[in-house]
Amino acid sequence: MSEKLKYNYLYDNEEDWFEEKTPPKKSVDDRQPDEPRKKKPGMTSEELWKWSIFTACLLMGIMIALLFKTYKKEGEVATIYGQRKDLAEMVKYLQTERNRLQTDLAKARDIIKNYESKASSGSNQLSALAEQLNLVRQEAGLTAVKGPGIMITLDDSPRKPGPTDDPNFYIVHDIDLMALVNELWASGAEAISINDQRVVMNTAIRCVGPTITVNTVRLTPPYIVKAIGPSSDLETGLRYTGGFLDSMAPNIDRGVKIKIEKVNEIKISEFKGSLVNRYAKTYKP
Amino acid sequence: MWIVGAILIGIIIGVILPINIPMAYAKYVSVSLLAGMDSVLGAFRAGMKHKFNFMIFSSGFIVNALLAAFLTLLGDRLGVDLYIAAIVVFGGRIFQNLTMIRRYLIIGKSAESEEGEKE
Repeated sequence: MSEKLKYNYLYDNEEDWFEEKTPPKKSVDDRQPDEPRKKKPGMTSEELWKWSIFTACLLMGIMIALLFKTYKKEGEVATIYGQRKDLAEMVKYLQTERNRLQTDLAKARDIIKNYESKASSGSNQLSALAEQLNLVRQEAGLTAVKGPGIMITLDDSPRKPGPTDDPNFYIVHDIDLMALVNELWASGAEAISINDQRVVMNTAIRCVGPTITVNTVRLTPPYIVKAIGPSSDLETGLRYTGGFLDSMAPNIDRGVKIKIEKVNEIKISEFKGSLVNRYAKTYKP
Repeated sequence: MWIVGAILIGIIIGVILPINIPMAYAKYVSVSLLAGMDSVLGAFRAGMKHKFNFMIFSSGFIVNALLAAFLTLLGDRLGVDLYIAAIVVFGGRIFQNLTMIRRYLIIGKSAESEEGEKE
């Protein structure tokens, strides 16, 4: 009786005990005191499950963080529109500042001329020098000039481009103005102005969105280009085959207006900007 | 428990990591993430019933993620929003798995049947 109770936990039922079959398998925990604890090779299914889910959640956490970073960056880009408003205001402020400086510059130049005329009124040498100085000023574009020449008016097309048309053919570009000015210089122009902005040696004609900037002043169409020089030469220079008008033919076909007229006396205003050389220094080669 | 810990550690690593997903690919990663979430929840449910199979889980995780991303790409090229299929299916399965997990946790080991009433 006591033996049955002693071994009851090993066998499922009494019959097995009586038949003395092979003893039941030992479980992992059922070991002799001096046997080292044996670990099953590899991970248990439970551990594997936990580690798989852990790794997968880790990966997903990384992905979530990366996605959030990406979307946060997109949000930051959107605030560029807020920055643009500040930039537009800064541009306005700088333009008023520039206009004020130009008036100051004109006043300073007047004062200098005043001194020069006073200083040169007595002496012959000085007055010759002053005359030379004035001539150089005129040639540099710092004085208002008048004379015979031509006037060219360019305007954007009033028509709207169709769905398949290239909208570039319907407007006047900075490159068109540049080509025109180039042609005029080559044909003998001595003074050129675009919408009353004198074109001098450091004048840049650039596209800024829908407007064109000349001497950092924004101009809108229609663009009135005045040139003083031999009128017929100037006009021929524009009209010859393969010249400026021919290159503008696709634009003209789509309605861009270009008008050329000879004028007996054109008045061109002076250059209001600064021609100061800070890097270039005179030297004798 | 440790799942939350794993996700938090993953988020911290992801924030520190200097890798950035290009904006164009963010959509694909999102959809793959959804597929991954479904795989993980399915694995969790299977593990609670001690029916977890590592091969099924790992292959399903990778294949589903790739397939979801591929479906989104194909949809972009064809002009049809094919990713909706992935979202519907994986989103639906997430809720199914969650329901089973919830029932299992509340009712205990007696809720073996997968076809039991889902609330």
